[in-house]
Amino acid sequence: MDLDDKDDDALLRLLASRPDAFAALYRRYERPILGYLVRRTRRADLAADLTAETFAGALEALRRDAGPSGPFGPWLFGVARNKLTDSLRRGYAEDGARRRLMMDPVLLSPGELSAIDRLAEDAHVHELVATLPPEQRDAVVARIIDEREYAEIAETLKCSELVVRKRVSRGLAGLRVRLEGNAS
Amino acid sequence: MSLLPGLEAQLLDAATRTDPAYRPVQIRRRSRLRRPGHGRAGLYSVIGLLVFSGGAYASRGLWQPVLGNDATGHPTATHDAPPNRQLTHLSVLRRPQTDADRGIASSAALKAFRPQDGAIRTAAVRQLATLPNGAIAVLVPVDQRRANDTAYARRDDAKLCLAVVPTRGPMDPPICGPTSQVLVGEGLSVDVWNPLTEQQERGRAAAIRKAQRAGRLPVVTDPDASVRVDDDVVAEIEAATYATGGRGDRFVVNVVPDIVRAVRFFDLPGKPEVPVRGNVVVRQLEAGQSGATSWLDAKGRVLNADGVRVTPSQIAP
Repeated sequence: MDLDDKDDDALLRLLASRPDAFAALYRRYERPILGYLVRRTRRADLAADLTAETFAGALEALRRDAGPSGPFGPWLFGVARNKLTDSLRRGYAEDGARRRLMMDPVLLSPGELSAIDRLAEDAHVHELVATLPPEQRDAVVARIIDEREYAEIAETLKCSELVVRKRVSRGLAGLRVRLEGNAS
Repeated sequence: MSLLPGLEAQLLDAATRTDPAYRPVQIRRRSRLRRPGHGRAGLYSVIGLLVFSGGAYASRGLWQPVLGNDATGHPTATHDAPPNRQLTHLSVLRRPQTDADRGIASSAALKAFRPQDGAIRTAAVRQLATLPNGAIAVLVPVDQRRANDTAYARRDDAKLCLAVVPTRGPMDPPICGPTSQVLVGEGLSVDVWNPLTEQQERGRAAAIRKAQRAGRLPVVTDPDASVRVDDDVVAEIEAATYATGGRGDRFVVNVVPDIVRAVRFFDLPGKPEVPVRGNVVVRQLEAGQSGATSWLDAKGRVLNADGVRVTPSQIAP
C-alpha cells in the first residue's frame, strides 16, 4: 500500500522507521494549512513561511514524542494557529524550528506564489460566510474552506460528527439563500 | 503532488536526519599517497616558509579558538580558503584577518556552532560590525561538506553564517544560508533586540514563577522543548518583564555583496538609504517596522525595485 493511502495514525506509527511518512503527512495537509494561513494573513509569502515553520515545529515535536494525544489534523492546525498568533505578535514569522532543523529559507517562484494566492477563497464568499451563525460559520469554514475531515472538526468543536454535518448542511443552505438573494 | 515540492524535500531531509535510526556517515578526508622523497621536500618547504615569511605569523601561531561546546558538540576547523564565489563577491573575506576578527566576540560566536553545521573556516572568520547597543556581528563561513551528517554535507552550495554576540545575556543561535541565497539578499539578515536589564530579568522570572505556581505554564526541563502557552499568559509575562522599561532598541543586520554600496529601507518613512561598510548594513528599527530593502550600486542606481528579488545576473562582477 502506498504511503499516501495510509491514514494519519498509521503514518505517525511508521514515522519511527520511515522518514518519508512525514512527507506523506505534509502532502496531505499542505493545502489545508497553506489555505488556512493565506486566508488569515492575505500574504502568500508569509503563509508559506508559517507553513514551513508549522511542519518543522510538528516534526520536532513528533521526534520528541510530544506529538498529538488525539487526531493529528486538529493538533497540526493548533500548531499552525500558534505560529500565526506568534507571528502577529512579533510582526514577522519566526524560523526557530527551521533553523534547528537546518532548513533553508523558503524561496517561492511566481507560479508558487500564484498557486498559494488561489487558495485564498473569494473575498465575497468570505463575507457571506461571516454572516452565518457562529456555529454554522465555524463548521463551514473548517469543512469547505479548510477542507478538514469531519472527525477532526468534531474534535475541535467538541461535538459529534453528526452535529458537524448538520451545521455544515444548514450553513451551506444559508449561503445558498444569501447568494440567491444577492443575485436577485 | 505537493504545491511546494522544495519545502517537501527539505522536510523529508529533516525527517531523515532526525530519524532515531539514522547514523550520519563521518566524512573523512582521503589521505594522499606518499611518494618517496616528497615528504622531505614538503618539510623543507615548510621550513622555508617559516624562515622567509618573517616571525610575525610564527610567533602568533595559528588561531585555534574553541569551536562549539560540550553540550551540543564540537565542530571541526578547516584552514581551507572560502570558495571563489564567496571571495569574488565579499571583499570582507578578501582582506587579511585582523586581531579584532580573532577577538573575544568571534570566540564567543564560535562556541555556538555545532558539528552538524560543518567545518568552521577559522581563517575566514570576520568581525563585521559593532551595533550601537554594543553587540557584535560576526561572519563565519563554514564548509558544510564536512558536516557530520550526510544530508547536509551533500549540498554543494557553501554556507555563510552570521552570529550576533550581545554584550550580556544569552546569544541567539547563528543563522546560516547558502552562498547563492546570501548573494541575492535572501540569506543573512537578523533582528537584534537589546538584552534584558537585570530588573527586567527579575520581573520576567517572577511572572514565570507565578504562572507556573498557578498551573498556567508548564515547567520545562528540555531547553529545546516547545510548549503551548495561552496568549494571555504570554502577555502577562511580557507586561511584567517590560514594566520597568521598554523593549529597548531593535536592529536589523544584513550581509550584502560588494556591488551593493547602499541599501534603501523602502518601507520606512522617507525611505532612508544606509551606506554599506564591509559587506554589512545595520539599521535601527522600531517594533513592527519592516526591514525590507532595495539595493543601490556605486552610482546610486537601484539594482532591484522595491520588493523585487535580486537575480544572480545583477550581482555578477
